[in-house]
This record gives sequence, structure tokens and C-alpha cells, in this order.
Amino acid sequence: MWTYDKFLEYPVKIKTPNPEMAKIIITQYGGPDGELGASLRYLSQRFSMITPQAIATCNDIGTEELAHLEMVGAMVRQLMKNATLEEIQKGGMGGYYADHGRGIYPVSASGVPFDASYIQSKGDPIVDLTENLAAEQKARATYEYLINMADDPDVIEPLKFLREREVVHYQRFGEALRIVQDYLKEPHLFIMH
Amino acid sequence: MKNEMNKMELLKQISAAKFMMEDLSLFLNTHPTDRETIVEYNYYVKEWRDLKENYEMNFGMLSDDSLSCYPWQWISEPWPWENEANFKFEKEES
Amino acid sequence: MKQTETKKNIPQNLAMSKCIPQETVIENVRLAAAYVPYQYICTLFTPFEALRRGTAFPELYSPYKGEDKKCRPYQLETSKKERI
Repeated sequence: MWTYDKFLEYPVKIKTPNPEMAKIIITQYGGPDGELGASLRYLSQRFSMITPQAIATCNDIGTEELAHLEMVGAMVRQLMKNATLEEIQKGGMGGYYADHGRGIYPVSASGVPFDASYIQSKGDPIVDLTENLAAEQKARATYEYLINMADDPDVIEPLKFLREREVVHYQRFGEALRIVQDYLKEPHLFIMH
Repeated sequence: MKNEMNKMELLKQISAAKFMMEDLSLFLNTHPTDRETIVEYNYYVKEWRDLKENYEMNFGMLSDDSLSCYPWQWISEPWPWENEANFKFEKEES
Repeated sequence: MKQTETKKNIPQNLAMSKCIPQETVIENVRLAAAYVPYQYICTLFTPFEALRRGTAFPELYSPYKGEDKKCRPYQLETSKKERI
């Protein structure tokens, strides 16, 4: 089960509203390669995962992705909260505003609501870990695209943090895959100290 | 004002200690027999606990296992996603 | 199939310059399987540095500068701009 610590994993302190940025950053909230998908994916896969190392990895990275979801939500909120309606319309967030005001709702950059078909949990550990490697690369690339389009350092810093976490997660899932592959290849040689 | 600065400074250290715990713990999940790293991890757990105790004595609840004074502090503002709740990294740091 | 020796894990009390924070050779590789090298710990960032950068491990730190908004992609290629 989960505990909640009342602070963000990395601080989000944005001074200047920017609905145009909010419109694209929200894709990491409810989009195909976003944090909601990531956390749901890993937290679903863990039930059928094998080897203690890989199970823990899915469990804990899934949990960390929830913290990232919170950060992305915070970014979109701070970018929208004090925006004028004019800024919102100019930034292309008029449609979003009509449905959600200045609130937070899981959609992609093009306004498509979150869909569980963004994730897979095949129940096969090799499939699931391979899926996770792809997911982390997709997330990393998305953060790079977002960083490319951002100008405000207050926005760029948290995005860079989140991008780096994807690199680290890729390494961890890669190691988990090695462990699972070795286990399935020769279970009788698998010894836990 | 000074109290506010101390609160943010403490929160900065708490975030940093928690982050070390987080990253080391992910490493240990795939390297469970790395003895030295377990020592390192435990060091940061103790750091985190001490800093957290300090924060909670002076500035309010931080987790769902924190003690509360009167009235119930958990609902106090700001919440973490608000601008005011977050600290700023100074340029010199790292 | 070529047999290769796995490089031994270097103990941390050796000089830091000799500490390689990863597997450099993987043995007994099979077809149709993916291999990510194991990471080994050498040094850690300080907590502030780690939080700032997004990882406690220097070997996993991958800085990203972003793309110049005004450059066309073919210009980036021809001017051999570093994409770090």
C-alpha cells in the first residue's frame, strides 16, 4: 500500500503562466507515453512478475511514476492557474478550458483522453520488461521534445529531472530483464544469497 | 520571514536525502548483495528520519505517520503542487 | 559461439580512476535476447547534486541541452552541432 509524503520529488516553482506550454506538457499526464500510463503499467505488471528483484523494480518504479504524475500535474496547474483567458485562448487551450477550466484532466497534447490501450501487461515477464524498456525510451524522448520547445528555466529544470529519471529507469528494467532471462535460462543455477 | 527560510532550507535537505534513498533503493532492488550500498542507503534513511523529525517539530506534518498539534495539521496549506510550497535551487548548488 | 570472460567486479577500495562503474563484457549471450550491462557503484553525487541532476550515479547522468529552436535539422547535421 502507499504512504504520501507532502512534498514533490523535485520542486516545481513556475512564476510565469504559459497555457501554450501547459497544452503540450499535459501529454506527460494523460498521453500515450506519460506518467499515468507508466505507473499503471508497472503497478499492473508486478502481480505476475517473477524473481524478487524484478517484482520490486516494477513495484517501486511504478510508485515513483505516481510521484512524477504529481509533478507534471503541478507544472500544468502552475502554468494555467494565473493565466488570463486571452492567454489561454492564444495558447490553444480554449477547448481544454471549455471542458476543464483551469483544472487538471488526463489528456494527450492533442486532447485525446487517457486510454488503457497505451499500456500492456501481458503476464509474461520477458514481454512486460521489454515493454517497459520501450516505455522508458518513449518517455525520455517526449521529455526531450518538451525541453526543446520550452524557454522558461522554471519549466526546463523539472523536465530535465524527469527525463533523467527515465534514463535511470531504463537501466533498472534492463538489469531486471537480465535477471529474469538468467533465471528462466537456468533456474537451477539461480542462487539468492 | 526567517522561519520561512529555515522551513524551505530544511525541506531542501529532506528532499535531497529522500531522493538518495529512492535512487539507491532502486539500485539495490537489482543489486541485493551490494553490501556497501546498503550501508549508504541506511545512512540516508537515518538522515531523512532526523531531518523529518526536526521539520515536524517546527513546521507541521510531512507524512501520514507524523504527529499533529491542535488543530489537525495535515490539511494545512500550501499543498505540494502550489508554487509557495516549493523551494528554489540557488545557482551555486551543484 | 565465442566464449568471452566476464570482467571481474573491481573492489571499491582501489583508486577511483580504476573503478569502472559497469560491466564491459557480457558472457554466454544468446540469440533473440536483449542485454543491458549491469551497473556497478564507484562514486555517488552529493545529495544536492543528485537531486539537481536527477540521479545519484555519475555514470547514469546524461545531460540534455535541447535543440536550438531556430536551426533547421539539416543545418544541425552539417554544422556538426553537439547535441549534448
